[in-house]
Amino acid sequence: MSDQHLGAGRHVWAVLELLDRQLVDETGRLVGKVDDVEFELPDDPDGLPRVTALLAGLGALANHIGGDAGAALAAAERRLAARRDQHPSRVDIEAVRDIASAIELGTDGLDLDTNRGERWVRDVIIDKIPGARHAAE
Amino acid sequence: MKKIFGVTLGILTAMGGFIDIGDIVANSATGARFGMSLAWAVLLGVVGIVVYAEMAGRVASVTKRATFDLVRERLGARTGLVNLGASFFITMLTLIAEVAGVALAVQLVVDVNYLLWIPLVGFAVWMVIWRVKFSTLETVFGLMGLAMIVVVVAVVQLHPSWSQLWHHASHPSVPSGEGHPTYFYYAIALFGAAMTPYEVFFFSSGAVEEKWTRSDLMLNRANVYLGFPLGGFLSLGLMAGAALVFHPIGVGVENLSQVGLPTSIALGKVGLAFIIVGFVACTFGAALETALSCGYTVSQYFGWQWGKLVRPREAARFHLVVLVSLFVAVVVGVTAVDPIKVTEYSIVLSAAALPLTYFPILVVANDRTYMGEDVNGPVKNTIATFYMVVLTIVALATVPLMIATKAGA
Repeated sequence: MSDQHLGAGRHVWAVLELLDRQLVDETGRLVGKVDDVEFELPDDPDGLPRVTALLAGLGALANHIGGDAGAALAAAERRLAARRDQHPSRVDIEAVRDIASAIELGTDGLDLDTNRGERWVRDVIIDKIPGARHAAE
Repeated sequence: MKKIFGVTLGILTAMGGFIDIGDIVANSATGARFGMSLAWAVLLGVVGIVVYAEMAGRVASVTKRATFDLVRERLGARTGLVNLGASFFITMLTLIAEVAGVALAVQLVVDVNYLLWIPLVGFAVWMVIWRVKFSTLETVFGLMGLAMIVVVVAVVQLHPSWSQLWHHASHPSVPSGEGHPTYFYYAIALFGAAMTPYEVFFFSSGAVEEKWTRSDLMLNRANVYLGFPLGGFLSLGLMAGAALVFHPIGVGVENLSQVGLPTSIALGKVGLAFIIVGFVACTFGAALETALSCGYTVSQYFGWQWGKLVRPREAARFHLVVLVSLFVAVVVGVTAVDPIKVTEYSIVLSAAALPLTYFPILVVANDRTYMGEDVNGPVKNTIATFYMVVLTIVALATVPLMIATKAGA
């Protein structure tokens, strides 16, 4: 189990080691940035907060940026969102395999909701152009 | 053998990426106006791009992270976004200038107005990005770009007084009739033309795409230490040609056909043919690099899949950004905006924006948790820190100088 995901008890500096890092999925695909981090506060008042998930997507990025630019991004996110109550994509911390210069996930990242835009652009625009499927070099 | 070929390919790429419309315009214009008295600015710029690209290439090889990925990581989402806005805008301006530059070069051959060529050039650039292999691009445009060596041959054929040229270059002084602000404004233009940020976005992204690792660090150095100085050498050739032909008679360089004049005076039609091939190759190569860089910066900030080595449908948003950027460049280009003016603004603003992307790379190049033993050594750090100071001074001076000199008028 421990080589499947990060062992519990590892201390991380959330802003330095998690925030704004590239997310890479099990196939090596780039699937987003860590736009925000979700914590669970400990019951024990002396304990450390526990990271429960990494959040990715325009909505999370907008909150993180704040100000007018954040508000503009949030508005764009609401326009593009399929549902009004859309939440940012949540990557459970259990899915994280390694924290290095990128954060490696043990799952398929294309299914993440933050890649809905990628799938839409692919299906509606790029796939319509001849040659979109030509072999990788 | 394959390695040697890899190095030559890399050298060609670096050179093709260095000489672009910005260098062509800036070096000829300053040569005509200031003789060789601004040659130091080219040297300062070449050493600067060598330091910057070597660090960015090394960081990309070791960490697999390209420049804008690290810009966001190190500066945070907010400052990173401001940085993205500035860098994207400047890369976009450069793309407009390069696309128009290809069209102007084609106009020198076929007497059809360049405005009509712009949409075709835009389409050709997109087709090449969409369909042609990276290695083919590098070889074709790198080899064709070598035709620019003709500018150096032309300078030799003009039989200049070498001691006088050297004296002008090594004892820089502001020519009479020119103010200090104008002189330094053009120094910034030359510096920005040599250190255009897209060169580093492209180079570091290329290193990630080519899956460079620690074992490719020699390849990185060979590319940087040979390619960029060769580009700088050709830049000085352009400057010297203009200094010999235009400076004594007080004629300014305002269009691309004038840039070719020293070469055609020295070498006739054959020389002109070579230089036009060189123009087309260099500007087309740079148009490819800037169009890709528009996609790289945006995709790397948001963490989207990017790159030319995956199927286009696997990097859909990246290809959409490239496509839209090229479309915008064509639309702006055909409004008959003066391509030479766009070029001048793009290189000067490039110089002003450099610290934004240079600083995060300098920080990561010193980060042992990322780089292990491949961090900057003391010598490299001294030079790199010196350049951080130079870039900051240039960035602070650019806008006041631009206003004071009415953009070098």
